[in-house]
Amino acid sequence: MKADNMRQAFKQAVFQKQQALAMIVAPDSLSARVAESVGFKAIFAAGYATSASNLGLPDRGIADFGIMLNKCREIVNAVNIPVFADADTGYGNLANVARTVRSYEAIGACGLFLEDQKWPKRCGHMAGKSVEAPEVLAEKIATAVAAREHEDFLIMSRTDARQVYDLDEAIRRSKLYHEAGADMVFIEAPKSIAELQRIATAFPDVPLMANMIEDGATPSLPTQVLGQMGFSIVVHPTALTYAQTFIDEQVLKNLKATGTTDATKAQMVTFDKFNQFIGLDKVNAVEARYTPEKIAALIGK
Amino acid sequence: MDYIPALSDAFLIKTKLSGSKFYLDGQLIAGTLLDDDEKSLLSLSEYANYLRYIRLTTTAQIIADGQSGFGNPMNTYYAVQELERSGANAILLGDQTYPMNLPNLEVTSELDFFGKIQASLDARENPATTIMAQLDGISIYGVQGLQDRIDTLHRLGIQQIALGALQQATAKQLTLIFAHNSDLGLLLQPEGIGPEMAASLTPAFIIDTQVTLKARASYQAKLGQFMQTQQAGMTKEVAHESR
Repeated sequence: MKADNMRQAFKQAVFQKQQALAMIVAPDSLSARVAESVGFKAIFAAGYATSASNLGLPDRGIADFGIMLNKCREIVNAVNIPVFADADTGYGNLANVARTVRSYEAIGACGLFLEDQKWPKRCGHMAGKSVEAPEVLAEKIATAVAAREHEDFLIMSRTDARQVYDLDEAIRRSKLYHEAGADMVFIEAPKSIAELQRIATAFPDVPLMANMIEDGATPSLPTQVLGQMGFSIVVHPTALTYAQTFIDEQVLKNLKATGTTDATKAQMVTFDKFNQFIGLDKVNAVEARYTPEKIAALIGK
Repeated sequence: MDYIPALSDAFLIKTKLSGSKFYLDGQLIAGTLLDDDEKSLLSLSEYANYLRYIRLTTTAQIIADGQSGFGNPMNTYYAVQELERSGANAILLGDQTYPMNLPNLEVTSELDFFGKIQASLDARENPATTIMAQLDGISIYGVQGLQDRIDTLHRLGIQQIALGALQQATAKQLTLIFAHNSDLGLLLQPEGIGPEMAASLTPAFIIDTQVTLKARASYQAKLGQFMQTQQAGMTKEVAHESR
């Protein structure tokens, strides 16, 4: 089954030690298909991009469980590579966390992370974050682990304590979260290469995620370098959202000014290429399998 | 005889009224969400969304309402994928035209229907997902037409066939059909034959879409009474407090 295969593929990619898994946040199914087509091996359905693409709003805790789950499900259904989910704070208390885990498992996601911010949360690189006491997320992680049906549905802890306190507190919390059952650890927004190295040193045997947000708090490093440092997953959460916004603006400004898209056509995919990419031939082939002629032959009429 | 109730409320399904299997009837969902009996007002994505909520509340087998396949066989192919991954154990697919509309029953062509059946079989990810057929057109294609369709469905590998839109007037013809096909089931529907006659045909299974509608009607009447009682209580309370 696809969901089983995706969980296994993700687990394998995360726990092998040769190279870091490059995971890209896709704002929607289309961008996920593009990522798959150029060779990405995992997609992340995450809050910053979903808040923007679904609501046209910043990542400030307005996109809720229902919106996030549906977005993730659309992406899962569109691709044949694992899709990992941003489950924010689990959307409430422990009962919400259990429902969140069961729901993401049911749609075929390969895992999710839960974080220790207070709701309404913020993007990890925005100012003004506040975090819960560490016991809150530790309990949520334990609840999530108990709620999952499949052991290979991976649970990641995320702490935002680096910005609110310091790196020591973020590492201390992440150790607690790992002890509570987190399979993977994510410390959000370290501020230097030295801090990234300290995180890697603190968790030699736990898969770690690094978050490469353009103009964020963390210095930008290549996936290979982060892999060599000891990170298992490197995620780019905003690249596609920023790229889409940039090109949309270029095309639309020009269209508004000139009344045609002639000048920006070179920056677009062509009609034929897009139809081929999006799988028009495959859908047409499905339809062609069930024409009246073929069915008449099948049933001998 | 396997008794399969039509249900749609999670709290009723949880009370184990459903036994091991129930039919998640689009008509009931349309009633809850749209105050309308016409299930075809619900699109596939709306129905599947509802199905996913219900799926997480029960381990019972869910027979999903595939209506008439939501378009042509290609649509049915993608519909079955969506219903299966939303948690359906079985999908009941009818031979009416799209959109299906029971008061003005129209059946689609045999080739369209069998195309949808074959597309459904091909679309499944899990071979254990059952495709069930609902034949509604006995009043249009008659007993011979019905038998032909049953034979073709058997040849395509469909084991569970339910007859719908059954009327008292065609009772004798029905007896014949059920006598000839021991694996045949039927749907008990709001405007159709009653439970006694249905049982007398000794079908392999009965999908009862009457029972919840009947219960809802009495629930509606009771709710009115309860609201009056509650309000009367509030008036007394207010009188008591003001003294």
